[in-house]
Amino acid sequence: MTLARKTEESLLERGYSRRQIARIAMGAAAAIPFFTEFAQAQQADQQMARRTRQPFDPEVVRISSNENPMGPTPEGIDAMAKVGPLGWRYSPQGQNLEFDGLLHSIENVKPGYVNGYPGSSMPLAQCAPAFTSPTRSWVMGSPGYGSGAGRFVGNKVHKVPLRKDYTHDVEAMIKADPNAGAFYICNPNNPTGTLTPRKDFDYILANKPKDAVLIIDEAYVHFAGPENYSTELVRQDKDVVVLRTFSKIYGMAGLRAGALYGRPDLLAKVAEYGRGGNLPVTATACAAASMKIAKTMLPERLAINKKNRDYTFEYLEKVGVTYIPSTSNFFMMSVKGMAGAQVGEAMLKKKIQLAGNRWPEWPQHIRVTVGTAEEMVKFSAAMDQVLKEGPLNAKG
Amino acid sequence: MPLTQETTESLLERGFTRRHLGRISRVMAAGVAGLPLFSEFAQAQQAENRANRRAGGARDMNDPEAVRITSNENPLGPCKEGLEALYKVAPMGGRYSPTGENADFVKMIAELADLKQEYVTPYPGSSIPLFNSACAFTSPTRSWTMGNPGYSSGAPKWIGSKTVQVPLRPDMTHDVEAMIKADPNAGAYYVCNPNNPTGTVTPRKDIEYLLEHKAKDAVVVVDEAYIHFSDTAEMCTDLVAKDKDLVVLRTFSKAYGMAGLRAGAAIGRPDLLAKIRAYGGGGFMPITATACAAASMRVKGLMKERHDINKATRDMVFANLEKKGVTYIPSETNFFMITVKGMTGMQVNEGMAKYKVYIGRVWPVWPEKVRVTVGTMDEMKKFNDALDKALNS
Repeated sequence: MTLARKTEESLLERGYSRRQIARIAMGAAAAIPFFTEFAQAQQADQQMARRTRQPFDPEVVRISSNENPMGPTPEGIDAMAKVGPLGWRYSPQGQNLEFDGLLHSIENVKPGYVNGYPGSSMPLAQCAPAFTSPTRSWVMGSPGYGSGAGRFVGNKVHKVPLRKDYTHDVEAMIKADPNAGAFYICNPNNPTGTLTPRKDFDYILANKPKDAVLIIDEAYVHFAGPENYSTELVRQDKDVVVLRTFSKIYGMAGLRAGALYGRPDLLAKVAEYGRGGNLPVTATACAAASMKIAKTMLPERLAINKKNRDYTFEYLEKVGVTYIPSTSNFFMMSVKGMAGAQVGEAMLKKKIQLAGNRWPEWPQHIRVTVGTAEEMVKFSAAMDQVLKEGPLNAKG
Repeated sequence: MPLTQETTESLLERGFTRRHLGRISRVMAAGVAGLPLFSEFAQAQQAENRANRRAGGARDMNDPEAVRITSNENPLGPCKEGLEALYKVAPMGGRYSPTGENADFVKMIAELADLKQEYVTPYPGSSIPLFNSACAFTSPTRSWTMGNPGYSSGAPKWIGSKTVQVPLRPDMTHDVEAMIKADPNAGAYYVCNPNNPTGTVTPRKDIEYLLEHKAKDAVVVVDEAYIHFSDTAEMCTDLVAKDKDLVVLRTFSKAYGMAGLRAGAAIGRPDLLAKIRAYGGGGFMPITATACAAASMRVKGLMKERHDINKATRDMVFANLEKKGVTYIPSETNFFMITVKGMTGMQVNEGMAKYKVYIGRVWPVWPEKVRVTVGTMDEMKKFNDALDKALNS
């Protein structure tokens, strides 16, 4: 009970109005359905169902939601098969303990420096009430990801355009609000797939308000490689929290597992908004088994993604389609003479599902997820046709 | 989002203070873990932690020889077909929605309940929609009125709603006349049917009484978590089909044996479900749970089979209890309450723990009783033995 009172008082002290607290009440959770990759994926599915009048069309190439078509690792699938029959226990044989232990050891953090969650959308959304307020804004890059919760809670969100080289413009971010509560950087960035160098994180840390927090969303960082991990900043006890998910390179989007790394006092602030319930035992077992083989698995999957991404980039160059050089499992492209939305519609007609029109500040671009080699061949074939035929007419 | 604004206004208009809204906010994004006090698992864990502290750390639930019958889990686990579906979908876990599993789950529940699909919202278990129902239908002035001993008081109390707990009738049914009298203007009347922790059934006519005598805008929340084990309880989904002011909560954690997998649903008129949805946490379960649950629902006779197995084991236990002169409440679920003359419920729990048999918890209103979950036949034989030893010590 004491903790609850502390949270409320904290919210009030920090200037939240009753109305806003009520909005937080509606939820970061209620907000989540609108803003996550899953929600977007669902909307895309529904759109497609409306078009094809089928709930699921197995012929459609789904490269819209940054899922990893490789799915969970064989070891993870095995672990799920093993734990399935034990699924009658809320907590069978300490699966959650193993998961928790591995979350710590895989990033070499001290006890209490990481919390597991059913995915990373939840802790991301909770960072909004935890670190921002009516007087302490959420500052992020544009185009970016993660504005939903901040907007929903009703605090100011500053969207600062990326630099020309697609890195986060950290000087401009600091300038945007010298009194910001949180600086959010997705690294690699969604939707550009581009990296922001460590020196830029150091800049934020050196120039932010004393009690502001740097949120680094590393949902896709494994595709960029360990040299780009920022968990070192957590080990150094900086004012940094790092978001991780098992939905991308680990191929577990539908299974629900994620984590928030950070100093215990920062984690506690976020945890005040809840931990998301019992983790599904299939998720924790699968994630644990996958973390055990991460040393070989991560480089393997990074290489496969890179190969398929390189193939796609080669093709795009051949046909004269501009793209942003990405170090992730998705990229943005821009077709001369067609708006991003038009490209999406035309491709969907060819049964290639790309990301919807989610970045209004860049209407020219559309985001594409890197699928399997076979899927990217189909992508290329469809693009060939779309480039020839141009946009669909009004009747679609 | 317009709905969200309505909900905001609604909360404030309904008399929630900032303090309450802050609490709701804490739990909101959380779902069950933000409700550390309230889910069956959480309460079982907390009770066990307290008991373990008292025992100086001597209780070890992970001991392979331990009999864990604390949390109303079903040792039969997920059924064969459910597991097969789980194994089949697991490799596709890279997709948020591999082949429309979510839609299939909703379709199956709706079919079984003979309802349109808009009358079903999936949740990863039923603790979230239970909490959300408290947020949606109650307030500091419109109470959550329930039976005592019962389940669910944690949520409304936490968010600051008036909570009215009305003693059950001597026959352990919900005293619905007394519930209406206790608060004619309640926001929600909650009936767990069969009841947790008594395992007893409240007849249909009593639930209809609540519907007939409640305030116009009040809602009856019927928690059917354990109904599949029951002989005489009548499901209320037909009342939902008739568009009554009634919400049914279902879970796959008990008879379906999927507590760790996370699957459940709220069933009700679409406008009522929308009010519940506004508090988040729903619409999506882990796909392993979704596929397992949908496949399990397709197995004809599964619930009857599990009902029968549970009944046989429970009957075996009851026969032994009678032989030993231990009073019990005749339960229609996978748990029951016992009273041992001369021992408090807590003492029974601690006595059994000495023999590595860990039973359930005590309800404050009935300190002389303690709840026990029905495990496997083997486990319940160990329970009988341990009880014997505890009685003779």
